[in-house]
Amino acid sequence: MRLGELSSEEVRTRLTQHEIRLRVGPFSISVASDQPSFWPAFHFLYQDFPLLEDDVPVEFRIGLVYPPGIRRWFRRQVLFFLDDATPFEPFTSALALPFFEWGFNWCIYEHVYEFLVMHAAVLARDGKALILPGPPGSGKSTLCAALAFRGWRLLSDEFALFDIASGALFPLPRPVGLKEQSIGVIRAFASDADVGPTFTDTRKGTVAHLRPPSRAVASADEPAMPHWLIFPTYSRDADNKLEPLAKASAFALASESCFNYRALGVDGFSALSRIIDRCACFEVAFNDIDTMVRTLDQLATRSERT
Amino acid sequence: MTTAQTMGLSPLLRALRTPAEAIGFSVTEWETLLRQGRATRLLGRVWHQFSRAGILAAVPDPVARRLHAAFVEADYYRRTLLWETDRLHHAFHGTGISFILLKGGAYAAAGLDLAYGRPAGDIDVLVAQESILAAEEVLLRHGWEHVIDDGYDQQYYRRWMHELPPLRHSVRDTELDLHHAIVPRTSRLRPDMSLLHAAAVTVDERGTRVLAPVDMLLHCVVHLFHDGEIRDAFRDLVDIDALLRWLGQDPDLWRQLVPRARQLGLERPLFYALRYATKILDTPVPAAILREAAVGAPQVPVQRLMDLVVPRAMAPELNAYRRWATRLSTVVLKSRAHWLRMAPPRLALHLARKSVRRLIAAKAA
Amino acid sequence: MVNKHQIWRVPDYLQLRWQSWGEAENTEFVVFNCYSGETHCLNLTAGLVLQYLETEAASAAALSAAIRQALPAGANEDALRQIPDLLHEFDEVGLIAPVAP
Repeated sequence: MRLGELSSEEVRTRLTQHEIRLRVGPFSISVASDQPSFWPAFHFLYQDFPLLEDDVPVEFRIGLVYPPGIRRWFRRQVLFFLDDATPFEPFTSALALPFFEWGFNWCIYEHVYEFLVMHAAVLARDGKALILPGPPGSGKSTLCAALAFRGWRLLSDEFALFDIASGALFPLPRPVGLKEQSIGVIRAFASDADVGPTFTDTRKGTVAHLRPPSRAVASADEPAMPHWLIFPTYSRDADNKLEPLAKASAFALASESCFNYRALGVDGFSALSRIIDRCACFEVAFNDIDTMVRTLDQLATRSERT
Repeated sequence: MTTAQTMGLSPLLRALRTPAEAIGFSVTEWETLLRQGRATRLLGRVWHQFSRAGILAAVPDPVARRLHAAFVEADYYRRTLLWETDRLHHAFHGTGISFILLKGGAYAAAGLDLAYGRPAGDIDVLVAQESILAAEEVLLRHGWEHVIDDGYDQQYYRRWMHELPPLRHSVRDTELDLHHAIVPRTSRLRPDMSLLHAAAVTVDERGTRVLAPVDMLLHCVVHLFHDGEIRDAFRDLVDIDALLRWLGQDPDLWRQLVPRARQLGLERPLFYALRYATKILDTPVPAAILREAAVGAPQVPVQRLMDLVVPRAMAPELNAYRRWATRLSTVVLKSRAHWLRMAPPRLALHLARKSVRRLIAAKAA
Repeated sequence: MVNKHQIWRVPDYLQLRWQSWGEAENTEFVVFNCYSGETHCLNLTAGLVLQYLETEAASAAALSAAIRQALPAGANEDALRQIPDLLHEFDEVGLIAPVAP
């Protein structure tokens, strides 16, 4: 059963009185919230995600709740809980959904060591994965969102989860966070893009979230093998051309984008070496989404022929 | 109500005491295990216990993933401690200063089972009182830096504490505490450090030194109620339980325990440690040893208060704004720990100055 | 500065894992030190020096001679002059240790 099959009434009741238990990519999570702004946004953005069976334990128990005392009633705030710990300062109540997204990301940085985790967008074509590492500002989220509507299957906009032994990428399709200018770009790019509510005054300015394509969520159990590793940078005077990258340099850059590379020790080294070996490595400075999408399509097509 | 139930730690306690019991856990119990284990940073140890008990196949996948992930993270810290030990040898080579590793670094260097799944990467080093400034200088030359800038806090450490202000490595980012004693100068306890130095043992070919086994346990015991962050008190008790089980393999070591505690003036902390380890973690301690250790027991009213307060304080924070009983216990124990480190008049002065400075900082912000 | 006659080697207790890409004078190495947990990117000369010291102890002078022979035709020999500095860096990060005479 999927979250979207529940009525908004049921969603609200479950979130406030107990919890909603979901599968998100490889993780089983539960969510509880007393925040009115959160219920419809969560229902909309996560509608395709399967509810968890009763006999499966949850590994991340997340709560978005009012703090005790006056902040429950006046200039309302929301706290993020993982189990019984609340690691962050409160947000204003209206920002409960972005807080959830951000907090869930934090859970992954902090606690995931069963995969090699890279800060990257991942998409796939015919089982071959395109990995786009990049810090905020690299433009990878906008590019990722565009590709997801041009025939590429979205695996994740934020985390590449590599199986340590095989290098296979496990999908974690989730709402794609977009900043102000990108929202307009994506709406123009794909008329069938479902964008959730807009949140102003966040630390990153205005943000909204793209609902992950249903197809992406439905194939969350299908891994893809790494094939192309491309480091993008968004810049005004870019030439939009893919520049081949020496593998040792690609290794160095990639390891810097992996949160848990050091903690994994020799297994991390071996895993990343195998991944770099398999991938065609490039860097690219881009300023135009359409051109980039065409370039990457050509890359994929050339690959099909060989 | 049993002590275990009072502490509200049933699944975690049961998993630590008798791993095989976890096989019958319900979904809720597994989830509670994850919650409590995460709060006390013991998930890695749970994985290690399950692995040794051969029951990992019976653990549901999502739980096994989280347990193993915690173990992987903890093992990274263990390897870090081994490397930091190497760098200490590198730094002190040729200086004539000898050092002894304490706590996590010692457990890792000695290859104790306790070191596996234990997520602590800070390194604790003990040197002779007369060498401490020279040792500090050596470390500063090798990339270590002071963490605390504040002149007052630096002074506080140097005058009253058993360790220098913490150092952080400029490149490797690890934290190091340099000790000259195992209790603060202001404490009422005064174990003779020369006895500890004399009994220290070497654990590897590079000459890495750690405290003798019984002394290692006694250091842990002192750390529990005198020294540590209350948040980690339960984990400290788990360390004590593990060390006691390790010592228990050699009857000679049991026989040395109470006499050595008396020699160092540590009978009271030992009494408490044995009492709470046996009550809470079911540590197998021979009755004769417990009887002998009763020489360190406090007055009955004090003992009653501690029996009420200690188990609750060790319960990890459950639902931040609900467990008022736990909060009160924590306040009592925290003051006690601080009080034992500094006699009351100095404590009042120190705390007052700290709160005043914070107020000023807040206003300026 | 490193004494030219000091003998160095990679200690026995160290375990290194290697990966290399490229060919001839464009070879680049990535090496993982299992003991320190550090990963290092090395150019051709640096990689050859470290690999040599894994198998045999040597001084800066001996290394210079040995590596000169091992370098492919067309490789830049300037790098050989930097061997003493390289050894100093390797010592600093714990990849090599001095051997008592």
